[in-house]
Amino acid sequence: MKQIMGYVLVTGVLASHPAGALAQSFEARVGGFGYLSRRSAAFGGTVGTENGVLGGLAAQIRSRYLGLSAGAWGGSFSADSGAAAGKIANADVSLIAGLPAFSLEAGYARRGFSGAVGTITWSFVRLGARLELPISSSGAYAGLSVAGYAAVKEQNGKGAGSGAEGETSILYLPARLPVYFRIGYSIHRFTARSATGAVPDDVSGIILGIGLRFGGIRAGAASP
Amino acid sequence: MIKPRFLRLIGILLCGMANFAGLRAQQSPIAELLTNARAALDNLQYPRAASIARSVLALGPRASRIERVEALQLAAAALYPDEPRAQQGDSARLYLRQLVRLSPDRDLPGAVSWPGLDSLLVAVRTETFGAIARPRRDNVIVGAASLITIPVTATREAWFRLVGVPTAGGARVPLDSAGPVRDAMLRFAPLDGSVPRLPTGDYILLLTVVDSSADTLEVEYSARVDAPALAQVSVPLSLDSSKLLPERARPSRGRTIGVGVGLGAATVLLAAVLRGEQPIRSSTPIASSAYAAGAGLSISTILWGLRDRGAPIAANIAANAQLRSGMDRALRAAQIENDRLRTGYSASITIDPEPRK
Repeated sequence: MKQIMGYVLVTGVLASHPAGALAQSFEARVGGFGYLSRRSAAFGGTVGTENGVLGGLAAQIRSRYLGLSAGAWGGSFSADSGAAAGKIANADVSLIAGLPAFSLEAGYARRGFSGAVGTITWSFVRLGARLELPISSSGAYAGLSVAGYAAVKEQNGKGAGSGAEGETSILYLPARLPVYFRIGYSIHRFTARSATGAVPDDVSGIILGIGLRFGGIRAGAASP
Repeated sequence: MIKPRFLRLIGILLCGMANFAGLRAQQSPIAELLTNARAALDNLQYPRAASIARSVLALGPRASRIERVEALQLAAAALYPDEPRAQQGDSARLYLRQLVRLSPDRDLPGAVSWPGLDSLLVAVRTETFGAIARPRRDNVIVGAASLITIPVTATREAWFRLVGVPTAGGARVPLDSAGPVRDAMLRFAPLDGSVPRLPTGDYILLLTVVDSSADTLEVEYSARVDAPALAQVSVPLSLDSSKLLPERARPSRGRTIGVGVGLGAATVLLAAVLRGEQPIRSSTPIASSAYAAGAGLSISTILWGLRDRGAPIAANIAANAQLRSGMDRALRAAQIENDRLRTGYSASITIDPEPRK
């Protein structure tokens, strides 16, 4: 959370610069999103599905070739036949390398689940790629990102796991406003493994996001 | 010594007499008549003076305007002398009216005037419509915005209209109008844009004056105009659009449709591939939200792409801006040069201050 607040601060400082001063060398974004999600989980072979409205924060600062992103999301799910009610949280910070149109990312992430069996936290390495293609000259981009989880470790335990995530979205950067809008679909798969067996789950749903931005590093994208 | 001096005196006298006779011989018959009328008036021969003056007026257009004015003055003076028995007021008024029509602002010369006749003239002026312009003879204009001014006056409120009529033929050129007023200053600029309103040549300036009872007077003045055309630098009216480069790339709609379809398909594919492991995968169908989101993203992308006007081309935008800037500079330079030419423009109009008839 401190990291996210740090990014918010950095973005705020950049946004206070005269427009255009860093416009073509940096881009910074910070915002929030809602996640209209469904979670499916299997405990002891029984699959349960629950709905929940999650929320999150996302921030990114990058130059033309390098950048840093951070995000966090989480919330509560109601109980269902196969799964107890619980809270889920996910946070990550990643380095970005490549052009805005296609870049690779590698980072560190943590995931936590709190339910009837207590609170369990995992840490893992996140490796992925993202694609961002302009779909119009007015500042709209089609995005696709995928990432896989490696070195999944249970905190204070011996559990391991695996996982992956993917997202498709449309990102809109209005030419004359220092804001951005994001709408898309996101899915996160995670499987925790321990001596007692595997507990798979997935969280998927529609994402609606909005935030502030400064600068622009995309050809043809006007800076606010 | 005396003899040569006497002879020189005789010679001078003979020369003077010869010159006097020559002058008399040079006078026109009308001028001679007027001289006789003046002499008769001086000798108190009022009927003779009036008769001679009438004979001049009877000549009509063969007598010049100035001669007619003088004849009218003499006739009025002869018909209304300061000797009461010789006064014929009504007849004198008749001639004074004609005098006011011809020259409303002119007083009687002191040689023929006396207070009673002056009063009669004032009285006649109030009841007679007359109008005249008093232009300067030499009118030199420097600067295209300068105006030629001609004062006009009438004995009562009237409408004034001034037109130029080329003596060589051609269309009348309206110059100015005013009214209803008694006194006005008619003005006109020498140029209409860069073209002289009155090109170099001879003109009649025709002043038409109409009072409220539609009584109309026309007074003509001879004028000589020397007004060259104003040479101006041609000002580019607009930018040649064929020189402008396209500022936006052609929108690649086919590609956008492909991206849209791909985005929708990728959404459903992610939902299928990244579902939770077994037993979730086999027991839980792909979330309907994935299909909805895939369709929504596809349609939005395609619609957005179809509305696209094309990406801006920075190099072309800069080149066009340079072109427009060059055009603006050329336009300003032409305007400055034209302003200089207009300021230095010179024309002259010589007007005979006396009306032609």
